[in-house]
Amino acid sequence: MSSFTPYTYFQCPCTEASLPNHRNPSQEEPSSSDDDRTFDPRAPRANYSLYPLEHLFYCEDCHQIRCPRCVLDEIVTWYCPNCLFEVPSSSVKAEGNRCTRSCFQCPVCIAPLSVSSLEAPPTGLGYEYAPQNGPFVLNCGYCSWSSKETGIEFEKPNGIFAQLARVKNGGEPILTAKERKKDRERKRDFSGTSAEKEREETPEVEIPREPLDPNEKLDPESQFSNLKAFYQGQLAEASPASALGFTGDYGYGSPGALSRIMGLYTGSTAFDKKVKAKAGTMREAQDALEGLQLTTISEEEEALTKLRTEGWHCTSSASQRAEFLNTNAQFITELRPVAYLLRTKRSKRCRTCRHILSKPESKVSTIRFRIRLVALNYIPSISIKPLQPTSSASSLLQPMRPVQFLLTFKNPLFDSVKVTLATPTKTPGRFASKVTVLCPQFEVGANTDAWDEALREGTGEKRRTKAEASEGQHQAEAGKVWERGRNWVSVVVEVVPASLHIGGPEFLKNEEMKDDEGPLKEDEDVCEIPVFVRVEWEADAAHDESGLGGGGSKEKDVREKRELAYWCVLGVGRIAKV
Amino acid sequence: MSNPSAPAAHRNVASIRSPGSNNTGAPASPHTPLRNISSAFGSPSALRAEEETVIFELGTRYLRAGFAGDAVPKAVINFGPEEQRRAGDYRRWGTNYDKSAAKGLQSKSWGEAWELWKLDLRDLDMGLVGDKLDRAVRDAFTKFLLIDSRPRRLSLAIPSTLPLPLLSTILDTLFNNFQPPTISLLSAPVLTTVAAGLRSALVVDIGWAETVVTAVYEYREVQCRRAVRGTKLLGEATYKVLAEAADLAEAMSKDKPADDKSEDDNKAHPSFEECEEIMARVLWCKAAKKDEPRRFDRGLTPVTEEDELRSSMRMMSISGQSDDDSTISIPLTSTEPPTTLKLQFADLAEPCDTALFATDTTETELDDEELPLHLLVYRSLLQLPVDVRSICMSRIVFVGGGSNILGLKGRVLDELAQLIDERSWDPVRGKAAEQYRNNPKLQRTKLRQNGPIEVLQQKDSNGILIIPAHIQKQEDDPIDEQLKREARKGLPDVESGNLRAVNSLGAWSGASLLSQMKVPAISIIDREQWLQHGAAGASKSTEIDLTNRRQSMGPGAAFKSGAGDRSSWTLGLWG
Repeated sequence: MSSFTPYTYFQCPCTEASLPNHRNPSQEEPSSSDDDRTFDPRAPRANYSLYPLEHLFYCEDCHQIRCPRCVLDEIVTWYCPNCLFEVPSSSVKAEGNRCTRSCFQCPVCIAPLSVSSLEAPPTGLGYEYAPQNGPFVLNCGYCSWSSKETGIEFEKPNGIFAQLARVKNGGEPILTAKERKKDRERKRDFSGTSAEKEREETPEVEIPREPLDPNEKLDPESQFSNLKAFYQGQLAEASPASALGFTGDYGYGSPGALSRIMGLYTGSTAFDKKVKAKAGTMREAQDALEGLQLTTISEEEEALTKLRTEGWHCTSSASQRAEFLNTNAQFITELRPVAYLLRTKRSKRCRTCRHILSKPESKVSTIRFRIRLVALNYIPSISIKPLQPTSSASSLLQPMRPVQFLLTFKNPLFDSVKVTLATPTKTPGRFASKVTVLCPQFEVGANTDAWDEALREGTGEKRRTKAEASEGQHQAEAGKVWERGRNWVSVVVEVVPASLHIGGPEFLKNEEMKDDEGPLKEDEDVCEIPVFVRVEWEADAAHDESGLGGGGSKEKDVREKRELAYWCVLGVGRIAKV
Repeated sequence: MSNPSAPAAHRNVASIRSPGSNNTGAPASPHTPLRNISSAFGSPSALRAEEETVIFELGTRYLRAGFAGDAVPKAVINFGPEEQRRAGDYRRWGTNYDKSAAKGLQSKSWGEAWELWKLDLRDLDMGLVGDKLDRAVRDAFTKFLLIDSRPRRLSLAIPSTLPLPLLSTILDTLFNNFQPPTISLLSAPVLTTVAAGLRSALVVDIGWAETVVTAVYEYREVQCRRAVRGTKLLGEATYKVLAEAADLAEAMSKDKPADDKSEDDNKAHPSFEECEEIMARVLWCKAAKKDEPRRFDRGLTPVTEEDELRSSMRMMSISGQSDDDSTISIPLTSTEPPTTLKLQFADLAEPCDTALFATDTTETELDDEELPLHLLVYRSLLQLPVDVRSICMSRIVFVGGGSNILGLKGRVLDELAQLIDERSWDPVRGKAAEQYRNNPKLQRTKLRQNGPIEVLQQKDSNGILIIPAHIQKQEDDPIDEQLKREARKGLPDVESGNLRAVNSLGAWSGASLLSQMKVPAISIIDREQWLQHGAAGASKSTEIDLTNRRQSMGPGAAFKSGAGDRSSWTLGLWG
């Protein structure tokens, strides 16, 4: 609260269009027609339409600001933020959007984990070349968590992801989906008599595992895969007739389809009977092999005794559980290392005209852009500073005491722009500060070569300097620009901050205050001024395109009048509490 | 055959050849096994159709998102106030960011700032709901699902009673901002049933604002009852317990009366987030009080050694309860200054008792919408027809945030068993009913009425009694009987009549399963049609001919059938 940096936010015009049809009918008042509605930066919905200028794009074809909500994304590359490996698009989904090399995050804190050997490092001559032997573990450099604590050790120092997928916390092996499938089928084979013979004929080399326990406790993944297999089997058995439409089997070779076709003209007699007989055969899962999991009370009681004996610190925190693998982990010992989530580089397109607004270089290590039409290059930026440098210790605004701020508009365009500002006289919200823009209309010079300005300096108009301003000779005058430079203009805004007093006599209160007399909300003491900015300029259309858009120049000397209008929010300062 | 699942199909043949002997169901006729076209060798369009179904589960507090075919969602996104800041507002990452501001307490009710919607729609800003949802979905897409904004089909798992205005806002937002060609609506209780591997279940969803008990029979919702006892109330109760403890601690340390300070009252109290965290970490639920030893015939644990283990565990926990001085220390960081609370372990079961089981009020004082969990489940079972009840009571599925509390499921089941013991399945209770039952005079008349009621008997001309058709017993059809018996032969017995709880993977996983299985939803909404008509264009679910659609649900057909194909569509349950 001690320091406050003034900020500016821009509202993307796209929200204006979508506002009316989203609005609740009960809130619609007859007086608020769209034109004279002032934008309220305090409204809960404002948070979704306001962006810092750096987040915005500018579409050259629509001549409009584009925010992240009105662009379309296209992914250029997927990469791991830890090892910067570029993941091919075909394998991204199969790998579950995670890095499948050895990049892991600590489940306790989020620091990257490193692989190290449990053995003492070899010493002596040529120890650099001596290979380290296993077992290996994952170590956290920050909180010194180790996968050994949860009983996970690895044989090899590389390919940790694959190794981890095969071991539970505590060191027991996990059956993968494929192995489960095999086991399921084997179980079915056992129950059949003819299958027994087949097994004898083909001696299997695989190690005989214990048969799957029908009361086994499954983790979500294997329960899901069991359920899936079960349902697939049931669907296939229950409705062979509807296989054509139902199951994604669209070949005409399937018996179901054939019988359906044969039944087309003969009436539905034979066919229908079969369906009726089959209708009831889909049943529910019977045991763990089919994905049924009974709730066992004993497990909860065990956890409860553990909680009772070990206390708060053995449990995992909410942020640790936020990672989707660990959602069911009640205790720290159940946490598993988290593979790094991949990230993407994206190119953006304008939603209405589908032109590319931004396109990064596809290589991961470069941060260059091929195309980048950011709003920063098209819209005058606004910066705020107090006119009188406050020497007093607190940077807070004193209530009911007028303060003047300098708004500096900087023009990034190569044409001079005409700016018109409009503000409500009182800021919306419960604490209405009075706002006056002393010079609401002015022109900002073009962003020409810096040398032009230097050459023009002598002959051009006299420029106020900071020194003069601080001397106090000049009062801010209404209708006059305070200071002007090559491509920037400063104007003065006078603010009378409201008092943050909540009680008080009834006649002093405004509407909002009467509605809500609760205590001060977060950030309500910040004086935020909504400003409607209208920018007009005459652009050389051809110049514009060849310079930035890259299109061919067909016509010359066509001056095109452009106009942009948008709401801004200026956060000028915190009001002191009395 | 370039299909990877081909060997599996081949292996399947073995199981077909030996039908009957195994318990997996009726003998199968030869058929082409199901194959999932997940290979990379399929045609690109089919590939996309397979992969690009995104599944959302929407609740009051969280959005779960992921792809069809995954076991668990890839992203769980909350709607907390930290997520609702302006873009580019990075203050929460600042080192001196003050989290302690008790923001949750300032709004009107507990945790309102963390909700996506309230079910009381009167002063709910639908636009805000849309905005929140839009941001959450965008976050899910860019951060977790890593997909771009190419159109892809969506499946939406939503509670079975979502108000139409809310649903309409949700669909508006999704259709306008993300361009899915279709959105299928699926109801959460049914999906939960599917994800448990069942056909019928009693789904107890201990959610945020309310606990909903839905009876699902053969994949249809047959009944739905709700009570306001959810995690919201639980959170508030937790807060109260913690705040009292904090006050006490402060008063002890400062040696001043607790009511002296009113200004900085909130400072010593934990924030909403901290309460949530404590709820998730250490809150537990006492076992049911009972006079008699617990009976083990509920079928919860078929293995006897487990019973022994359990009883020994219970012995331990009972002995634990007897020495009440076992304390647990909870570090609080959101208070000012940060403190460590020392609470008795039993205190941490208090919120559960008061909020979910209403131990502090008698049953007669409770309103219909504030029944404690066990009563709610009991009443809901009581209302069901007897055959549905017997099926459902052995398939109780607990889901929702509250179901993760240690000991809760056991408590509900035990209380329920006691209730059934006490009252059996008699809806009539109270003193008058008791008197009536015990009154010997009335008893006699009742006895007399037990037999068949006398009816006027007519005789035809030959003196043979004519029994009216509606009184006549139905004639047995021996052939029919035999057929039925034959049909039932391969089927395993259906577990019914005893209390049993089943775990479910949750609604999201159910939706994922169904989508991968290509089971079409009743309500599939086309983008064009929605944008044209909105909710008004939907017709009643009964008017839709579902058989037609099912025929055209091949992978290719899903693309071909555009807006023109389906002239009518429905919102299903929600319309």
